[in-house]
Amino acid sequence: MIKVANVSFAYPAQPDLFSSFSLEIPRGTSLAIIGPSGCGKSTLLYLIGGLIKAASGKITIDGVPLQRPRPRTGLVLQDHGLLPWATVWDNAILGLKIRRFYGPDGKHAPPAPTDSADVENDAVEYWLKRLEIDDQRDKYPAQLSRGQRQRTAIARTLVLSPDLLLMDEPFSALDAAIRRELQETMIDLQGERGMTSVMVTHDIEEALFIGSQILVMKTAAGGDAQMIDNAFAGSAGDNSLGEYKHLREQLRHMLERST
Amino acid sequence: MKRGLNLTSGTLGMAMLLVGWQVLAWVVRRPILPSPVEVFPVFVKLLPGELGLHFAASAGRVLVSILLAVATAAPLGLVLGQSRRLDRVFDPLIAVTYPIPKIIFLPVIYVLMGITDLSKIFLITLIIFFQILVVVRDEAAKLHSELILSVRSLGAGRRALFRFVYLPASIPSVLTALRVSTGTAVAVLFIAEQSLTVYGLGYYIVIETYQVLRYPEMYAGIMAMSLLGLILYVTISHLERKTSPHRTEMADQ
Repeated sequence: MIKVANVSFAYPAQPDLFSSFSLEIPRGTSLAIIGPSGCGKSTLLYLIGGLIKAASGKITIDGVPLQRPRPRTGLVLQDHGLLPWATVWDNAILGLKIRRFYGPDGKHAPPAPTDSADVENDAVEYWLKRLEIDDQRDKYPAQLSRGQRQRTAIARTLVLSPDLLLMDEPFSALDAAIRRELQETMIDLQGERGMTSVMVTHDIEEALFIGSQILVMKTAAGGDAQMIDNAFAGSAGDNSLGEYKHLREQLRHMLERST
Repeated sequence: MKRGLNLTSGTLGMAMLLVGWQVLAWVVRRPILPSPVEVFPVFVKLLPGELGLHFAASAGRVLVSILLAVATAAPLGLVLGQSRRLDRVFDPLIAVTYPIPKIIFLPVIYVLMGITDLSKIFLITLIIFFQILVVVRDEAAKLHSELILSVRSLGAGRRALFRFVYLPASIPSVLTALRVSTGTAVAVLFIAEQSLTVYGLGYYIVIETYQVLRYPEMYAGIMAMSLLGLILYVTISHLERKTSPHRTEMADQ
């Protein structure tokens, strides 16, 4: 369970992006956050990720107050954030190397002892295969397509077996076909691993496909954000259903009014 | 086509240089241009002795300067590249001082720092320092915030960021800066060594041989100084290729 309680936040020399904002995300939820640009969707994601600190208020994950990036929270950004000088393999194993660097300190890495190198290699191998990028393992990011880079970034995050996955417009720079394929992969993975996920998107269709719940953020200050249940998550074939269309129109309407 | 130095191209280039030198010696036919056939035995004879000492003195000064420059400029470049505020403060100063030929401060440095090796080393360090500072700063500024955020989300704190991001990002740029600045550094060393010392190839070439018309020995000195430049260049570009395989792979495609 993620609890955001009375959080306020502003970037330096700018008006409040959030003031006394609260939100609860139950474990296993797949939450899509949608809203116009500048409404603070990404900022909310970074706050939950512990990458930036709230000015006031509190964020707890499973009852533990958030102080810094949590070892079991994964983050995938639109710009993959791969090391340009490292191969696909070396990028995918980076998180494990960082854990080994600190040792199981419970701060930067989970308190459990680190796995043997064999187990770690197997995990990297598994996720590269699963994301169909293992045949590119010796390539550098600049030699890959956008989709392949994003697959590498997702593999790098999943290698650390996160229980919470945060994604900031992860697929918006990709072709439609590859986007759909990766969306399906993420839905499968989430069901399989029981992860909680939060995905920021500006695409209503994507929000409806990914999110079992959809948070519509309309303006800055987060005051009038609205949580909507979505029964259609993961069901691509039902786009023609009247209820689906109705929900889609409702979302579109809410977003249009806010801009 | 692949450019640069490898064993084949190095041998070929050396052969062309020697042939050209020989032809020129035949054409000019004056003592100031002895043939390589005459100079080579002198070089081989002198290198284990006197010439070797001069070579070691020059090489030592360059190496110490490189170490000092890397140790000071690389961290400073990283800080400036990552902090927009500091960069804004110092950028005008760097922009104005960077193009100044540092050798013009030679007399000032001699007076302030004395006539020891320290002043020569300081001058060369100054030249390399600015090159590294600028290149590392620009490279660090290219590390965009999303990369840093992603790596932090993998658990990296300050130490791991340094180890896994800043360090590997700056080593190749330090080497690039060294590759382009050692040529200038050796040239400045040549001038600085012409006075206030009795060891160094600059002293050997100008004072010990040129001024007393020992031309073959002078050429042995010139060869030694060329060798110093060549060894530095080849070593640095080799390290550069080794530490940034992603750039090499790109260039090969």
